[in-house]
Amino acid sequence: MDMSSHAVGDSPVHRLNPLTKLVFAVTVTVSAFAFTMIWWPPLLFCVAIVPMVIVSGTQRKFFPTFLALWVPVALTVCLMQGFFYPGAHRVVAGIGPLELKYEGLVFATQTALRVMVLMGGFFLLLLTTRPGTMMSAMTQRGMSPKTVYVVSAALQIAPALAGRAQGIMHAQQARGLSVTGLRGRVRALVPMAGPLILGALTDVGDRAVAMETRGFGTTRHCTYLTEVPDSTAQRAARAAMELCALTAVVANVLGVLR
Amino acid sequence: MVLHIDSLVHRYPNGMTALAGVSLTVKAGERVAVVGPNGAGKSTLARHLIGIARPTSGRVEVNGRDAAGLGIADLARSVGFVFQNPDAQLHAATVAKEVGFGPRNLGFPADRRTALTEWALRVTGLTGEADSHPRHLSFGGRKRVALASVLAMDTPIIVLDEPTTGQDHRSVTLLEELLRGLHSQGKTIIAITHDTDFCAENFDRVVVLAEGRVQWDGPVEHWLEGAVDPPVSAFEQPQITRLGQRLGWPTPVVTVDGFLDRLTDHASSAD
Repeated sequence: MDMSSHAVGDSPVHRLNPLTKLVFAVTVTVSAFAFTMIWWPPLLFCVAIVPMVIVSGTQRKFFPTFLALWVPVALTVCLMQGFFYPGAHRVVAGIGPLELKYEGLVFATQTALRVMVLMGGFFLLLLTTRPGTMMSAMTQRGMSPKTVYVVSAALQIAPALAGRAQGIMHAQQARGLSVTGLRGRVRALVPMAGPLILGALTDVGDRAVAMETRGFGTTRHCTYLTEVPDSTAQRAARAAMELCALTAVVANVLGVLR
Repeated sequence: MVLHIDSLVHRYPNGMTALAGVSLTVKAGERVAVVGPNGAGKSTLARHLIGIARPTSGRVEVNGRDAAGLGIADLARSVGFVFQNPDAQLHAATVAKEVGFGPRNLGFPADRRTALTEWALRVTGLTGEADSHPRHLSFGGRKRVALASVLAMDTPIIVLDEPTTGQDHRSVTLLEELLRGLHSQGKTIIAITHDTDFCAENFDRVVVLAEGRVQWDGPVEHWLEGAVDPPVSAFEQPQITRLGQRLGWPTPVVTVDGFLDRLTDHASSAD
C-alpha cells in the first residue's frame, strides 16, 4: 500500500486554495459531530466527500488507503464500545464473561461514521495539497511560520513514518528477516522500531538545523516563494462553509435535530 | 549464469517508467558495474535483484529461479544487498550483534555464525569496534557495518548500492582489497556507482543504463576508452586515463598499474 500523502494532479480540487480545502474538511467534520441522526455522517460522506474525490481523480489512491486506515479504527471502536459502554443493558451476544451490548454498538457505529467523515475530509486535503503550498497559504493568512510548520508536520507524520518503515522493513528482509506470521512480526518489532525511532529523531534534529541555517527563525518579514492563488468565489465559499459549521455548532448546543 | 533479466519493465504508481525493457545476463564470478546518470533506473534495477521491487512486466531469474515466486527473505540467501543508507538497518546494541543479525536470520549454526561474523568484522576493519554501538560510528563506519552485515551472510551474489559514497580514501582502499578477495572466492559482485576510478580498478564489465534502458554493455577498458558517449553514462574518465592522453599516448590506460607498465615500456624503449 502506498502511504505517501500527496497524489500529483491538476484537477479543480488540486487547484483550490489549501485553506478552502481545510475549511471544507473542518466544516464536514463539525457537521458530522453536531447532529445525532445515524444516517447523517454517511450522507455527508456520499454527498460532500465522494464527489470531491471523484473530481480530484484520486479515487484509486483515496479509497484503498482510506479503508485501510478507517476499518481498523471502526472495528476497535465497535469492540470497545460494544463490550464496555457504560449503562448498556440490551445484550446482543456473549463471548465468555464479555457481553456485546446494543447501546454500545449504536454509539460505536455513530462514532465510527463520524470518524469516517473526519478522516475522509482531511485525507482528501492531504491527497490533493502539496505540503509546501499548504504552509505558504497559511503563512500568507498571517499565521506564524512555526505554528504552520507544526500543523504541517503533524499532518504528514503518518505517511512519512509509513514510508520510512517500509524502507527499513525492506532493509531487514534483505538480511533474511522473515516478517510473515505472528511470530515473524513480533521478531521484526525491534529491528524495525530501533531504526524507525532513531532515524525519525535524527531527522528532526537535522531538519531543524537545515531550516535555521536557511533563516526559518528570522524575525524579519518574509516574502513568499510561491503565491497561492485565491479568488473571491473561494473566499465566499469559505465564508459560507464557516457559517454552516457555526450553525451546526449552535444547533447542537440548542439541541436541534438531536 | 547467476542472474538473468529479461525485458524488465518497472513503472512506479505515479506513472514514471524507471526501467523500459532491460535485458541482462550476469555469469558467476563476474564483477559488473552499473553506471549511468541520476534517474537512469540503476537503483530500481538493483532492487529487483533482491525482490524489493517487482516487475511491471518481464522476468528476473536468480540462480535459475524466478524471483517473482520468492520473498525478499528467501532471495537474501542468494543475494546480499548493501543499501546506500546504512541507517535504515542499524538496530542492534553492538556492531558484532548487528553483523551477526543476517546469519542468525538465515539459520546458520552457531559456529559458522561466529566465524562469519568475525571474518566480516576483520575484512571491513571493524574488529576493534565489535563492542561499540553502531550509531556511535561515523557515517563511513556505519556504511562498513552495513557491508559487514551483508558479507556475514555469505551469499554468492553481492550487490552494492553506491558503496564509495561518504567513504574516505582509507575506507575505499579497504573496500577495494575486500572486493578483490571476494572475487578470488568466486563471488559475483554488482555495484551501482558513479565513481569512475572505482570502476576502473575493480570491475571487468560495465553496464551503462540511461532512460531505463541498457545503452551499452562491455569491458570496462572499452567504456573508459570512449566506446560510449560520456554524456550518456554521465562519467568523467579516470585521472590516470586523462594523464595518459595528456602525455600523448595513442591507446588509453585505465588503471594505475597499467600506467606504470606503460611508463616502464616507454622507459625501456627510450634506453
